Amino acid sequence: MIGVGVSKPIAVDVLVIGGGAAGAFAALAARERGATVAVVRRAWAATALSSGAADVAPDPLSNARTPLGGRMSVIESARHLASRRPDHPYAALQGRLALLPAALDFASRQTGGRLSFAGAERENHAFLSPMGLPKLSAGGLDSIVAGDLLGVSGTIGAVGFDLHPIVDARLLAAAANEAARRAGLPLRAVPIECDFLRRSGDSLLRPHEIAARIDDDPERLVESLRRALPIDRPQRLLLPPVLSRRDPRPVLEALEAGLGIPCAELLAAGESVPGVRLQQALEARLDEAGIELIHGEVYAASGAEGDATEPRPHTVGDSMIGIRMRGAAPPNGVVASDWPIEAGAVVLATGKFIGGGIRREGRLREPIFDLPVWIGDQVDEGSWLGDRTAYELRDPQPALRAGLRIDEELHPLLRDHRLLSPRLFACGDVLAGNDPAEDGAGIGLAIFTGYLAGLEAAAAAGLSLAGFVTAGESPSGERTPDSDEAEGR
Amino acid sequence: MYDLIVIGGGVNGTGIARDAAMRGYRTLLVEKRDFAAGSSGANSGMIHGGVRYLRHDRHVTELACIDSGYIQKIAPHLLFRIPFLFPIRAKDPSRPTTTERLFRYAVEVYLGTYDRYQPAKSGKPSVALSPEEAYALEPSLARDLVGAVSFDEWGIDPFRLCTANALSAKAHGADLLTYATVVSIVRGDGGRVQGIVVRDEATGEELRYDGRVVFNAGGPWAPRVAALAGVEVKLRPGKGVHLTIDRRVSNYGVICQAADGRDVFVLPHEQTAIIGTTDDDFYGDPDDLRVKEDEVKYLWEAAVRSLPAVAGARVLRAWAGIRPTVWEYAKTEDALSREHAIYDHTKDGAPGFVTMVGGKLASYRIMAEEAVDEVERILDLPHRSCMTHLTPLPGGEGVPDPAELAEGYGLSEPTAERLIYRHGRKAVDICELARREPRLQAQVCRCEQVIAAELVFSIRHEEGRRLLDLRRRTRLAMGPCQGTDCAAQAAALLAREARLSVGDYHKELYDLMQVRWKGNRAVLDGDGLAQQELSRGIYLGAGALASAPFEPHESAPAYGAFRDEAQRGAVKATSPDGAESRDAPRAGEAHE
Repeated sequence: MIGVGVSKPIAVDVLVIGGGAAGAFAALAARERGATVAVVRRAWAATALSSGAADVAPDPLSNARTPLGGRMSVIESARHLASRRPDHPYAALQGRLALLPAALDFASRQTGGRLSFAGAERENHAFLSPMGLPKLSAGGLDSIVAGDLLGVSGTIGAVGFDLHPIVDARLLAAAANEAARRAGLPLRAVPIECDFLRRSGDSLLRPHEIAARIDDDPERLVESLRRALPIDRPQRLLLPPVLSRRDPRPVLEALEAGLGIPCAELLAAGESVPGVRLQQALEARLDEAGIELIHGEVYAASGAEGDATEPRPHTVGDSMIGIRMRGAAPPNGVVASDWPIEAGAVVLATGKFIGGGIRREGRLREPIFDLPVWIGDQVDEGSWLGDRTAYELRDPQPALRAGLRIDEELHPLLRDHRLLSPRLFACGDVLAGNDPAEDGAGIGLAIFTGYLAGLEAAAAAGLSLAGFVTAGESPSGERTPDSDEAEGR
Repeated sequence: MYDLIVIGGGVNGTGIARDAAMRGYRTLLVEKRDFAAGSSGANSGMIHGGVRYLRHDRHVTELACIDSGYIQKIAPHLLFRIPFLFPIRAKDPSRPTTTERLFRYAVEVYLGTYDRYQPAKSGKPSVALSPEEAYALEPSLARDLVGAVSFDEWGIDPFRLCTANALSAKAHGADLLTYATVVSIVRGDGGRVQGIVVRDEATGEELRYDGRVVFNAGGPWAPRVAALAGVEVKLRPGKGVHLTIDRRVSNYGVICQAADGRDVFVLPHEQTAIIGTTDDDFYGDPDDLRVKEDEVKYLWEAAVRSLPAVAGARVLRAWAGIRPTVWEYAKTEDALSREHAIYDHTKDGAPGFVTMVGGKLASYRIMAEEAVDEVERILDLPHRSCMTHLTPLPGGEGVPDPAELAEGYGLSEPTAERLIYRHGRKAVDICELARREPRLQAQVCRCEQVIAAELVFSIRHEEGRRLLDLRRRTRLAMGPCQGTDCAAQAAALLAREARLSVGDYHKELYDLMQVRWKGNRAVLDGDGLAQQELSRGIYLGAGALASAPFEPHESAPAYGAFRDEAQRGAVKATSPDGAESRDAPRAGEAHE
């Protein structure tokens, strides 16, 4: 885990709060525009738990009978979501969806290809979900994208370990055949159960422990698979997503060299090794790009040095002040401390419930700036969430879409639709109107809104936006006057 | 021809089936969902002496205490002692008012009276404690006590109690049918009840079973079952809501006072704690129980006031059950008798039809004994002795030592302990299964230490047919993660073991998560929201489960209800339109 405890006051062009995918891409986008950037985060959050897929938008015509839907392009699918769901962040950003391809390219480039997308003008990939269902997604980690069902024909081998329950190869193969049949794909899946995990107690290993075993000796996995392969060799192997703790590419190369069959990983469920890999890759990239990653918790102070007469975060000249941070002790145990922060712009990328960007304490709250939290077009005043959810699990759950509403420049809105500050931006899961599970916009939404927020923040901090402005619109936050107070709160 | 057909797989139905089968009567038990899927699984899980009923029903208290003693003997593995504290508070503890001091005295006397019944259930006598003593025993108590009184109760896993009774009935020759709904009651000359027609919930198949007595143990559904025989049975149903929190906040069960002065409690239970319960008249559909905001707040407020530490815990779920209380008018809910009643419907023109309502979990055994005695009387049979209080329930004989089991089979001690708690002696069989099939050594549920072998054992030997049944048998998905961590693997095990189709596998998985959601959504707050985000991300997001092509429905099982043994009992099969008889299909035919 990269990162330091804070040891001095922070003064940067752009402060990003939150170190998941949204925060990382906001920081990288601002950095690319030449801003000095710091990322403050409390801990790993939802990105490290993600499956390895990067969803942008679901195909609007996809359903149980036609799992591949209308095979619309990713950007068309996003436009569709924006038009049918006025509360969705894509609706607020409708005028900027043309930048989606640039954002996805940016993510690919910044991660050195670890994140891979077919391209926003192409249709979604179709992955095999951990439960054996077709899962449409714009992209994901390269080891997973290699398992795109649309890219293979013939036989695929669904690989599991004979004594470990992480993947039931027989069930997965049966489900894959069923999925292929429904989707009309020219595929046949066969189960392959290898004996890689045969030592006493192996059935208790957790995913990260299996990944460590494979890192220790990839050749043993190759051998085990060679023994397990049927005579009629499959054209591709889908393996449990545990091929390496950090980088599966060497393992994949060893497998392909040893078996002569292209290999890919399945999506992860729950304890996600790919999610941790993505998180680590993002942090490595932040470090390379010269962005300081600080462990800590940001809070809005009552003015400088505890002066309670000053209202909370406000803008003075070119800076946003009145925010402070407490250093949290990272794993290497740096002493906790408390420092003021001065930033030209601030990006909130604090996530939703897992990340802690939205919490319910009597009512739904945004804990740092106490911004209003919206469910649909209403600010939550402490409603019982039982009334804001549907009985059926798979129906839309308005309460689980709670978050911040933004304008087209990604400024979070106050209750009266004014801004707390033109220098404050929000992106990722903290935004209202999106339930990543149900709405099918996950890491992709984080990339897109993070990228835009980073550009906006760099602009607000007074840095150049050359080559960025589209359609004659002004991306800077000058449309409302600097507001020293949070009105109407 | 059965001697006795019992309708309802709750604690009464399974208890009656066991008693009748042990007396040698040919018995059929029919349940529309699973054992303990209704009220018997939605209670506090206490084999208590009924201290609450001392005020209104001293007789109920006495019966409950005596029978609690018997249940300890027949299922020693399944009971756990719950010492309780009754804290006595004052507005100003340093200067309690006369009323407050009098109240303290009254509680001591009251629980002192209860002590008279304690020996029957190996309970410890009550002890009056000073505030300092109470704080030392239970540091999480709010600091406003003028004293406390301890008393002693027993807890049980009610799901396992019902399953154990059903399995014992089966071992003594009874036939069991789960996921089989009674659709009509067959009448003969003079209105005599001759049997029932049941619908297999999986296939829609209808089968007729003949019996000399049809016993309605339908609990909250008893009026509906009775209506099938043209008989009116009236209940005064009471809804009881409980909350489950993610940790054990106290060592003791703690009595808390709710805003209206009623007593509720916080109870350590397995890896969680339970806060319960409400008691309100219920006029709705027992198949559609939903928890309301005020019910959650009522319980929460009461618990936090007595045990402030509860405020730091996460509420996992809220759940509700219906007390099938005997009808009485013009009484408050709490004052209603917990007595049971057995109705011989001969006088209602339905000879051969009997209903039992009311009663408590704790006295199920004695009630079952009375019920079977009544059946003997109706059939004019010579009395055969009831043995249910002397013969151990399955697993109750020779409970193994956890340390030895852990050592012998390479399990962790907590895992062995939980296994023995749920299965008693049968834990050894489960360990043997895991030894023979090493694949089944995996720990599927880490919250409640459920290993794969336990799930497979439940499928093979405990009539566990749906993932939701496995939840009831093993506490799978009942702990802090609410299935997030374990549901997919458990569903895969079920799919392989029961040879489910891919569609049924998805449906099983979805239905479990749906039932979890039903309980979670009433208490969404704090970290519970994060748990939902994660769980949805896994199952609906990465898993794409919502896109599976099935119609979700909680009560429909994934595979056929009719098993071989019960097949033989079906004397005649009728098609749904009642036209022609035909042979019923074999169980699981589609999968073979």
